[in-house]
Amino acid sequence: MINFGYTASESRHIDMDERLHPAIEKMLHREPSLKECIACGRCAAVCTAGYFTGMQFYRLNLMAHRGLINEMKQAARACMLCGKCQMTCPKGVNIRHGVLLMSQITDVLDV
Amino acid sequence: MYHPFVLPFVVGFSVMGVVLVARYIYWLRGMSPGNRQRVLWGFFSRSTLLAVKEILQESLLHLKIFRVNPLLGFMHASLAFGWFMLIVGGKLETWYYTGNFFNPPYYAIFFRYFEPLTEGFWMNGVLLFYMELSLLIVLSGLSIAVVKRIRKKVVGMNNTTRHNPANRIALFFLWMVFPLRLMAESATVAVHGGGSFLTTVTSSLFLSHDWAVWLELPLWWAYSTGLGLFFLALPFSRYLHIPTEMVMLLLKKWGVQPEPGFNPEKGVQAFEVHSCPGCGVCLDVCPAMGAGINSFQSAYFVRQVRAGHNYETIADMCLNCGACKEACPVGISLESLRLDARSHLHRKANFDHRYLHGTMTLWRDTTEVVLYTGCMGRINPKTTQAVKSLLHEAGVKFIHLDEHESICCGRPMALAGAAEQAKMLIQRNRELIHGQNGQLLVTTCPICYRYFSSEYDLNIPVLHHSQFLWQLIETQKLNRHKGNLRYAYHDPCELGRGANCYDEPRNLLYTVGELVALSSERNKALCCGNNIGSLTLAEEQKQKITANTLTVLSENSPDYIVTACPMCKNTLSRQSTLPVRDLAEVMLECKEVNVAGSRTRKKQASVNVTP
Amino acid sequence: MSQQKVAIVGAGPAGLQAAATLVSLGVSVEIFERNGSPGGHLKQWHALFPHFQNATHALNPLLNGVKGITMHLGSKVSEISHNGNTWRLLSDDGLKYESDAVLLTTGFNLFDASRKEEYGYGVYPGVVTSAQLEEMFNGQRPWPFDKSLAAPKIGFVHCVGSRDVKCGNRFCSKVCCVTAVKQAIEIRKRFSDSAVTCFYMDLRMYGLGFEELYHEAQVNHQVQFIRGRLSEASPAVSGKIQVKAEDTLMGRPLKLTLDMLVLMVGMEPAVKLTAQNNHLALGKPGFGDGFMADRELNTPEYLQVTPGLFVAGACKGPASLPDTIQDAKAVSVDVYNFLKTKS
Repeated sequence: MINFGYTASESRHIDMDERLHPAIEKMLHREPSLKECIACGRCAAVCTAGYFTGMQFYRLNLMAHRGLINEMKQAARACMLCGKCQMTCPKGVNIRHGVLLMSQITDVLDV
Repeated sequence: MYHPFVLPFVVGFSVMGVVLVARYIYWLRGMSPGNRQRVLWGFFSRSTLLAVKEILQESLLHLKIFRVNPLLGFMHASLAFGWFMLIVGGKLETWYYTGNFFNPPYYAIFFRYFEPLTEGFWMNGVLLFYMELSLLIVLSGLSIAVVKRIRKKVVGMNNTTRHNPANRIALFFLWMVFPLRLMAESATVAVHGGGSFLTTVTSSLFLSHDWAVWLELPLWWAYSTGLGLFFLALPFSRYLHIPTEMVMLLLKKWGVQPEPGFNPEKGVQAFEVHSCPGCGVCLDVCPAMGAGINSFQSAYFVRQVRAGHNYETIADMCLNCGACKEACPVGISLESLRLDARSHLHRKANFDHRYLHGTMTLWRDTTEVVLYTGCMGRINPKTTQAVKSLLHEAGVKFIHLDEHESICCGRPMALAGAAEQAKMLIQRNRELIHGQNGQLLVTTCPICYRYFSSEYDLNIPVLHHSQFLWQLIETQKLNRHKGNLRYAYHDPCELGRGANCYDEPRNLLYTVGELVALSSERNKALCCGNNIGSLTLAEEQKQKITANTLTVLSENSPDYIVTACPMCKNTLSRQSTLPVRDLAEVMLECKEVNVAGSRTRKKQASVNVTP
Repeated sequence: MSQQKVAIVGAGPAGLQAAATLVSLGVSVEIFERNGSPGGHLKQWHALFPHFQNATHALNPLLNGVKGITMHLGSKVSEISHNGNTWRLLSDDGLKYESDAVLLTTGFNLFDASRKEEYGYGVYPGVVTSAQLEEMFNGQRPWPFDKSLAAPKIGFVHCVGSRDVKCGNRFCSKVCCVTAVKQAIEIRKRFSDSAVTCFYMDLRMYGLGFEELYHEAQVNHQVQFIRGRLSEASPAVSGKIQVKAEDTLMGRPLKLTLDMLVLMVGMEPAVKLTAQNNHLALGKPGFGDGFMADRELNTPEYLQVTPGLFVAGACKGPASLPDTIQDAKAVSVDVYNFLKTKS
């Protein structure tokens, strides 16, 4: 390979021109409370798994809304579903159900 | 002895027989090898006799429903047992009359048409009386059933199941059958004479002999058709529960074990799902009902599963508090059935907890008690602090295992239907607990407690803090005097129905004060509304349930509402106007109380309510 | 024609201002106040945002404005009823009063911080509310840490009991953000080596001068603003408090040891109005009971069908002091116009 002195990397932009992924839309339909999140970070602050890993539910939810499905799915796997986040969430988001759906979402519509 | 009007019955009955046998064989074949073995061994054992006894008690006499609600019990018993009496009586009648034990089934059912005048022998008179008495019993049950449909409160039920069309058709024919039988028999009596105390009276309704002659055959046709259509509808409606329930009682007595996976047309689950009569007892006990939420109760869940419809919403929304399972007169394992459904629905859920390897330091210290406060303990610092103070006071040496970090016990994963994926959590927690060299594990969380005791196989005993505190009181390591504050105790689902611990918390409260009686408590206690059993219930709905539960807890205006679960406490205290405490907090607060000083204490307490 | 009478329930800033305005318009007024003295929450306050005006300087003119007006202190109105053109008030101590109109200025209560147990209010002495901090500034309450401490570390938690469905309060309490910024600056002025951190969800600097105050806090007083909610407060060595939070902008968890944690408690209605058979009862609000809606906005039925009942101030919803005073003046004119059409 010829070295041109630089490498071309993929754009870091989140493409907001794309429509929301149908799988995500379906997920939001099945757990509408996900739309309530204001990303206050409380869920991440109390997170049991977050003590050991970078588990941050509000970020998963942002990923979902920005269409970053694969990142979201991968990050959701650390969750223990303990429900502490849900107890303290000021907006009453059903986080456990949300993460459960996130962990099994696929590119094909099947949530 | 034959008449073409028996055909509808014969056809309906035969189709039912064929369908039932075919389905049962199919379900039995779907059983796990172990369970099939158990069925074979059990068949010729004493368990079969025990099962027959239970069938008599539960499927026919409905003793369990009777205990819950006598009128409702009488309704079910008179319908089922009365019908059973008719079947036995019919057999005896034909046997006695013909001298042969085996006769075509329709002969017994339409016996009165074929042999209108049997009063010649006294034995026949007795049998005739017996048959009409049985019919009267059935009819009395039926009339209660009709009233129940129209006005449920009459039988003391707040809720009755909403039925789908197939069930309504079957219900219609079931209701028609017995009045038609009475009418047909009365017509025959009006034409030919005979009859016992009932039909001699009802036959006079036909006014004239001509009317009776003209109506006799059409009525027998109608009776046969009604019966035939009911039998035809039976294997496709909820009335499938009548035969299936009996088979399930046999299977349970033969010791069949739950099977993995979720398939309502296979193995033990098929028998469980199809033995639900949809009686609606589960509706009345459901805590969500009181909050006006009538959508996910067990009767509906089972019906949806049985019909092969989408059951996801129903399965995921329930709080899994176990109240329905406790009340189910058929003894269906509703809780595990629902969790099986959830694991089937979320079978693609994919978690990975390998990061837990080597993440926490293992302490090895000899101690009496290993204290585990669980995830929820962290949002209830008062409870944790109170337990610690009490342990200090009692001179118990302890280590707080998860003071700085915790690993979830795994029960929440199981509740979401991902029990298989909780293995890593269990393994890691077990290593941590075993690493402590303690003699006893005490946890402040009923969810952890239930899972520790059922799934962990620990090398030390595990107690909930209410049980341990009661031990400390009993062994006089903690001493408390009785005050006169009044407490209402809220049974956490996972501790009460889940782990059968009802008495220790009450004993503790009784030691320091008065315990207020509630309209729903112990195994009938309502859910706080916010356990982690539900996956999808919306926050407003949860708050409605909480409000309803608080109404019950406040009904005798206690000074405090007391519970023993961090989740219940958190949920109740957010909405309650009365102060909500954990048992440990109460025990700690009562430290200085003595009999003389309890009055002043009460004053202080009421000031605390509104700081 | 005899002078028309108005009963005012509540002697906070709104009630006092309304009384003064109505009297100046020639209306006879009597005030009913359940506490022993007038002034509402304002009398416990030290300084006001955004200009650090002394609270007593704001309160005194209000108190002077009602000189000569009959004020029933310690008299808690429990029900009001309506008969023809006459309103009847009944208080807990048996007081009865008849008037031509009633103005409710019942104000707000501060959120009971012990309802959020995880923040440790009532468990750890270093955890206080914003109102208690004002009392410390006033010298009415001791500081929870040693005042000679070289560099006290103080944290503020925004939105305690506000924007929180779990507490039954969906609304934003509007004034806590700017109050926290004001208090942070006051702390920095008082303890020059102190370090102050604010944990917020969204900073709502809506009023004139508020954004400038925020700027001043960040630039001149090095107040740290962290966008994130606290998870829990736990005890640390020597009476300090350890807090854990998520720094949502950094995307990382954060921990911090503090000498004092201030909870910015939100507003809740002080009184709930319920229509009963033939009267309106003034009771204690329950879980999720909102504020009395504004007359022009979502007017509840009982306000529509009962001409002569008016509502002003923070009992209609969270409001700052200037908002409350403006509203009291405006509603007073409404009351005056109503009385004029009646006579």
